[in-house]
Amino acid sequence: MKNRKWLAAGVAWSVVASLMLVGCSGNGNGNGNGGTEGPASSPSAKPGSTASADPIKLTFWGAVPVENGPQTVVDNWNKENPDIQVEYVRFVNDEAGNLKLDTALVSSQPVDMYVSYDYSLYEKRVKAGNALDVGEFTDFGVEEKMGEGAALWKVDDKYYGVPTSKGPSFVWLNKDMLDAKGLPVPTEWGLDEFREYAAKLKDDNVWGLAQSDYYFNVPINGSMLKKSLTLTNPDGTSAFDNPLTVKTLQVYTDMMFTDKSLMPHTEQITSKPALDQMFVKGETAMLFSTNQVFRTTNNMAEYPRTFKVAAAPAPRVNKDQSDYINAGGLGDVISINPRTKHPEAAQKFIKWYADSGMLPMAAGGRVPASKDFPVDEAVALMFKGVEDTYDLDSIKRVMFGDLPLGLSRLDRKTGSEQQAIYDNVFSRKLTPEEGAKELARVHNANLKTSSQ
Amino acid sequence: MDAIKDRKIRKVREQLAKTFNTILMALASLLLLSPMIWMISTSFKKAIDVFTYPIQWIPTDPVWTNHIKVWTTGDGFAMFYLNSLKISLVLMIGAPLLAAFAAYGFSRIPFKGRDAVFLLYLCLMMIPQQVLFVPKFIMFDWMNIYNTHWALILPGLFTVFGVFMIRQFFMSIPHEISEAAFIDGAGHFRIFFQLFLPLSKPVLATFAIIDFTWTWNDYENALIFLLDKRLFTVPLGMQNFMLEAGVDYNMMMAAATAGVVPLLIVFFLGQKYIIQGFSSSAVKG
Amino acid sequence: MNWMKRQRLIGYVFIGPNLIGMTVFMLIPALFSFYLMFTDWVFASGQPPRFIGLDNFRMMVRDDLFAVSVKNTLLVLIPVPISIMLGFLIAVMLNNRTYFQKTLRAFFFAPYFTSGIAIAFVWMVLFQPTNGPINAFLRSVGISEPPLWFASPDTAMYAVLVMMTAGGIGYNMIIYLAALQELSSEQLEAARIDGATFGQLLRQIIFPLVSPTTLFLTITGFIGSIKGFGMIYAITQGGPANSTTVFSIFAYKKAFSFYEMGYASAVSWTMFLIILFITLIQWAGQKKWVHY
Repeated sequence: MKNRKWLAAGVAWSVVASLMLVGCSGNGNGNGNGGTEGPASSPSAKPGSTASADPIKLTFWGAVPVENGPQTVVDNWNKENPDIQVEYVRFVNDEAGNLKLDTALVSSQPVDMYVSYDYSLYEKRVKAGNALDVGEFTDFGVEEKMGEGAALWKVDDKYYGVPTSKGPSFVWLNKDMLDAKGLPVPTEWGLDEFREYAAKLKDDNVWGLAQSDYYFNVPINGSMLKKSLTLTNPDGTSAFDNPLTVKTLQVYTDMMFTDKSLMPHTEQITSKPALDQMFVKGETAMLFSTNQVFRTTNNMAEYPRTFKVAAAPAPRVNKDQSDYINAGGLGDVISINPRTKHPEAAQKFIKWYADSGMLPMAAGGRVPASKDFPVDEAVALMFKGVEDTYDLDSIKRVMFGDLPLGLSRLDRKTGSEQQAIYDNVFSRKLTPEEGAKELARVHNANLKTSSQ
Repeated sequence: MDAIKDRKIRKVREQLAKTFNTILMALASLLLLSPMIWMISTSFKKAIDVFTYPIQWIPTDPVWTNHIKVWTTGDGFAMFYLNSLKISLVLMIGAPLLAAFAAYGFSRIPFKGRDAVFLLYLCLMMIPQQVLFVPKFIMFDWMNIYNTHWALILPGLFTVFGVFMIRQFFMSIPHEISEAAFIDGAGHFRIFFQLFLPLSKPVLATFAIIDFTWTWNDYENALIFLLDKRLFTVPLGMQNFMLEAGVDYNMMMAAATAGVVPLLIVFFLGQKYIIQGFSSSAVKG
Repeated sequence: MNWMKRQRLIGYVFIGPNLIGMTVFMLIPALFSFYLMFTDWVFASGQPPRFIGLDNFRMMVRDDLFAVSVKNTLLVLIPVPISIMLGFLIAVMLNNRTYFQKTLRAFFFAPYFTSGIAIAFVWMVLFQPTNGPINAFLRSVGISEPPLWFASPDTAMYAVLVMMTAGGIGYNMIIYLAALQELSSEQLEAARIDGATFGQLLRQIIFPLVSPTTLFLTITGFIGSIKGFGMIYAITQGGPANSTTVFSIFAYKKAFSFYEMGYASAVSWTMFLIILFITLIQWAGQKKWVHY
């Protein structure tokens, strides 16, 4: 009996002990089943030289869903380059997903190439030493290819990544509804005209306008961007408290509560309607959103529609504003992890991607930014099969035109805290004037702490 | 004669009460069940029908394609399924055993410092998960279990929750039973394995069900600690349908519906054990 | 070896495996985060942690969100006892007082099988101000301007409370079911024959007998409710205007959004203190009403 009970206890303890041993053992055993490490640069991998017959393996992290182009891109490359094999890994571009990317970047299983979609995350990664200075690759001139918009992505005056796509936000229009009310497709407009259109287009069960969450900051920030990328005054304080901000808040409040042409903001953020679907179903006449909506408007099989789609640029605050800059400049910045074992191979891939390789992504709505990119091919691909459902002139004008593009460097924290202020303004707890002051106050508070 | 009539009346009254209760419960449960109904029904809808008002509880235009696509395209949902099954099953068996073992120590063995350590346990349970992610990441990376299933299994085997739940149960078992066994010459180990474990089938089964469900549905832990697509679990697989601008709800719900099946099986099996426990304790009296 | 020592040894043998596991996987990370609380470390920033003493706490108390989160977190405790009571009653019902027990049990436990997104979405829809069924119903009984629920900072919290009450029911029910199965049927029969009504039976016999379970549920319920985060965040992200920001969302936003691990740790450990306080009250009070 004595033996048996110690045996039983022994079983429990040995379970614990063996688990500990397994956990602490070297790479090979510790992985259990199927837990092979990432293809790139694992400690037990062969040394990086490509002298051996084994191909170099690179991991490329991006947030675009696999079937919207990245898989085709990677497959194309892999076919043409058997010595460098690239694997695409998708992460969700939200907080948890970005944390995962950042975690992977510093872990012992590093990522080779990755895409940043947001300036402040990008800057953080650069400052943390997780991005390679692209200037080292002299045969690739970022600015020549991408235009001056690229300069917005410089950190400490250097490029740590290559912007590859351009995508302004703009207003999608249901042309049939415009025609029915005798309204022309606008080529440039201000918030007053915007409001007018929304009021006229509004109908039973049809909103005049729908827009992505918190898009109020597009006209607001756009009015300050030319003077300062960080949206500050020359003396360093926040520039948010200005008459254009107040006007924007006022117009939107009127659209929501007086004209009732726009879904009230708080209702929208808590019912999370699928805005692109609303648009194709004809439940809203205008949609102020990103160019990603192509994915839905192009997909006639799942989202049948009968009307033609036109585009108009984002409204300025005042129609005649001369210093307004559209949000959404260059984006999709690809960076190389300095920990990679194959920087040259990575750079080769990125160059190829930016100049021609990313063509399959166009079908999903990502407009290539590189000057060397065959634009007509991109357009043809983007609208293959559905050309007649678009007012192509307006689309080309807005997406491929010469609108001044910009990128705000507002830090994420301020942006996030300002959301609460927008919530209050559009629950009518704050007047537009008070709202503008609050936006500035929050911004100033963060400016102060970050300069300490 | 009267006695028989009385009993009959009582029986009818009981039946009426039971029927009434059943209807009441059914209605109440329907409300709680509505998310599940929506989930299943959405999995059969076309994308454009997902967000209609009023809600289409039964799709007007049902399609099978979502379900087919979930299993055939992309990264192999079957693999995610198997991964989830593996992890959840291991934990479902391992965690209750380890917890019961400890719970016995905390409830039936008088030793100095016992209650203090238990309070420490409770304190640990109160620490919010998020704050542990980064320290755990660093530790797991160092232990080389980052990006392996062990990162999920090892921590999952040791739960305060289970220990607490089972301990409460053990404490309600009358002392006479163990005293009788002591007198008969049994030691703690024998009492644990031959007396307490069998008695606690309902509690163990309940904990097993709950733990299985939690592990199966766990998203954040899997997200942070698993890099390799081949290791992904079902919740991560569902991530594929979280697109850049919005969510492919009908596909996601198809994946979620598929994921529900093992949970239902475990639940019904577990229920059997819970009932079994009842009959065994009736015998003890 | 004397008896006391032997008991101690055996005791540790039993709790040992679990204790070791907990130490490795919970205590050590927790201690690390405890240390972080006094630093200004930002994850993945390439900079090592810098000791800053209690500055994180000073910052936290001055933070606009702090007061709001505390208030909301306390509010979110309310659903716990309600949900436990309902779970108890339903368990009693489903324990031989209804037909189709097995099926009904599965129905009540269903939320646990369902993807969290589905649950969140359905609640969102139910409470939708313009088109949702709840407001449609309210309008039909004469309330012309029903509350905006999640869409307004004034009423969002109420919707959250309803959602959390409903969410806990299935879980409480199933735990009570297991406990109820253990009750000796003879005791109940004896009381019944003595003429006790069902109400008396419930209050004076059944409830005291399952009191250890009730204690367990209240402690874990409060803990879970304070830590709880997923469903609220999925619908409101803490809004609108931070009206539904509970402590855990406050911590999440600081940690994940901005990777400020030091600050997040300070906030989380404060949360821990709150939980600890509430738990200790219950633990000390158990002598009054818990029967072992």
